[in-house]
Amino acid sequence: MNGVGVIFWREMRGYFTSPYAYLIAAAFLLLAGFFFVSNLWLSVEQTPADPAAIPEFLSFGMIFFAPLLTMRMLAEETREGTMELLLTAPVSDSAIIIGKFLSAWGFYTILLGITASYQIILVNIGAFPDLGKAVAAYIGIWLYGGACLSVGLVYSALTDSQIVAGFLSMATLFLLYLGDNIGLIVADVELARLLRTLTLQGHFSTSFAVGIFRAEDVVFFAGLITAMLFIAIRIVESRRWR
Amino acid sequence: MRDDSIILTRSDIGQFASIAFALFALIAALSYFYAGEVRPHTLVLIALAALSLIAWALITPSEFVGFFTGRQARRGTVAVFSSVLVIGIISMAYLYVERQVIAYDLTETREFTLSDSTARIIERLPRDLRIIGFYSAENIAVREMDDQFWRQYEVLSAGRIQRIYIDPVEQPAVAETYGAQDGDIFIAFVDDNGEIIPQSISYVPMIDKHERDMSLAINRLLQEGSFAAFFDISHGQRSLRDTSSGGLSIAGELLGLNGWRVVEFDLQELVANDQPIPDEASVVVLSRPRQPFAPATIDAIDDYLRRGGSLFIMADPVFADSGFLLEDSAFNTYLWESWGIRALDAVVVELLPGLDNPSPLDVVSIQIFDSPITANVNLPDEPDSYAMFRLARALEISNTPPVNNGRAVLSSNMSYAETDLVALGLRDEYDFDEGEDLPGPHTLVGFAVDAETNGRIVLVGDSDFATDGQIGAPPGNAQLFFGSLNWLTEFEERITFGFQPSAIAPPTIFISPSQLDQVSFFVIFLVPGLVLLLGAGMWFYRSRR
Repeated sequence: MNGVGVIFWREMRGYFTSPYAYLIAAAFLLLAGFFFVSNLWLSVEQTPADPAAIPEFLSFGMIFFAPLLTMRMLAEETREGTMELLLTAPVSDSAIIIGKFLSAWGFYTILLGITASYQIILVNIGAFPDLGKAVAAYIGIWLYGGACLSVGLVYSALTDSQIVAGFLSMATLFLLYLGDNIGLIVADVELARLLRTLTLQGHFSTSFAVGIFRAEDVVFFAGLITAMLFIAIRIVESRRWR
Repeated sequence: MRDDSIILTRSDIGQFASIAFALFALIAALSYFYAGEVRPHTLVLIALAALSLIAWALITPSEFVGFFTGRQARRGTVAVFSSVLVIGIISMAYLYVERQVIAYDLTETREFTLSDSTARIIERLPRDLRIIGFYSAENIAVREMDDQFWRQYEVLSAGRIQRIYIDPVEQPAVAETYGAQDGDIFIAFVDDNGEIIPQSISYVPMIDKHERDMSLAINRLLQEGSFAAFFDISHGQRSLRDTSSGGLSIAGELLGLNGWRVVEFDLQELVANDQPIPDEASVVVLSRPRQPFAPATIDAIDDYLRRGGSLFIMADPVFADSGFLLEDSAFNTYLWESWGIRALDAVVVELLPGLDNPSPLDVVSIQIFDSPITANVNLPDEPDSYAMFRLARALEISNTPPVNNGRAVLSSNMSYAETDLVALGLRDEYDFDEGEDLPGPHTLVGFAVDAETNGRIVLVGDSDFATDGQIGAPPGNAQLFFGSLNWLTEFEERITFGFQPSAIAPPTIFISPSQLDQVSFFVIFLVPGLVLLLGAGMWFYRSRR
């Protein structure tokens, strides 16, 4: 696992010196801010503000943001030929994948942290947010985001085209998002339940998003991240023997 | 110039087919392990895996053969099988943790935690219980949400309560037997063989407070018939069998649905035979008696109340010289002297402007005092939850009562009580006469409780509000009727449990438009704008280098 830190900081530096990452961050914060304010408008004189409004929006928004953050990561390295340099550098394949993943997750965590600070606004203006629910929702969407990024990383490892990687990631994440609507396309209730269990929404919308912290959901997200990273490592590794 | 065109080679397609094969095969295996049997969808997944495998072999035969035979085969096989192994281990870990039901309710109001009261209810279960939920595939998210609660019942009862789910689309005949629609919940006891006892099947009305609704329903099932409302019919009262707009048939039906036993009885006959009002009467209801009560009847009521009985009096204004509960009648005097409440010979006229009442004689529950009687009246989020009384008598509540008493519902400060009932009754004339009429506000619903005997009385200056014609219009009338009976019999305390924090209406937020504008500016313009500025600065800095 030597070199995880090296790769992590190299990628993080890449984020903070690239105008492209700032554009993504600005779009992310703009949309999150818009949903935050619209939820606040709807709450006035009706109910307390929903502290899970931003996490719930992000559970859909990550379909687009995660591929934007990950599609370049390995595909661009392959396309520009720097992947060969990386593979010959004194870092393991695991370190490359884990370092890149942690940097994307770190960047996402910073953005999420900025939106989490909006809860302070709610407290200050007397909007009575349920802070316990906010904590659950943010932990949930943090893990959810990590899972989305890991899926994106697999596709980035699989192809040298950023566009293909991004498109396939979005398509996969969209399918994984459809958990709550799975019954619209599957008539058998047990199959629908099984498929919902395999989706991201199935482990967020009825647990973290409503204020419940369930061990099985943590295992699902952590397991998905582990599995995706393992597959991504195997794909990168396959370049050595294909 | 970079070329971003997408080129899919034969090799790429073959590679996708191989991935599809692995995915379908994996999902099919997981599906088999999860369900414990081969189901139709498992067969479909196996078929898709086989098709992907064939496609892979046909599109890239050399890679396909190489995968299974050459150096690639060895390494590829190791990679695939190690991936499958990792996914298998993760899946097993997931299934294990899922079955442990480890969950923490982080909400401040403990919205998803079963209360101690529910635990006490579960302790009293005489036999095992089933929660039967009807959910189609379309309702899968609702089912999963509800399941958060039902599985807690299963855990808390150590398996004595179990949940089963039925798809009403797949099993319409079963749904028909229950009279169930998609999303409906029922509970029922099971016999020693684990079979549902049909007579005990009970619908659970869900009002979005899962625990409260379910625990209430279980308690109703436990208490079925142990609360009895005795309606006297011997003084010309309204009848439970009367289905006209002036009858009480809907009130009786609703009581039955809530687990009450409803009985009509002849109080005069009991008194004539020198028999007491039976102890089994949780409450005696007097709905608009037309005749005055004889001293012996008053004694029988007094005896009943001293035994801890409860009396619900609904008294309409009397426009004649003789009638029930005239101001100077013996029964009214008894109520005043023993309980500190009485009815006045005066009709409340409501003059507050802007109300939804057809006439000033239709009096609305303008002011309510916090009590179980009015727990569901004048709710802030439900504009129709007020109660309305057509021609209501003013009540008087003693400030120096012999027992605890109080006011539950009042008219507005602008109302008054018209004392000229002749002019009102004959000519529909009413006007405030200084010195004669009584300035408001006036008590419309009063109550008294003897702390020693626990005898209780609720006195309402109107009976129309509980009739078939008005009990649901407005809905607050029914809430007042049931709230009164609940308090009189302590139904809420005995049948249900105390309010959970989540059952209390959440606070409403009030933010000025300027505050909202400031928040909008901060989160929509300032924060993303600063990030953009930083990005521009970074671009400028790098381009200068």
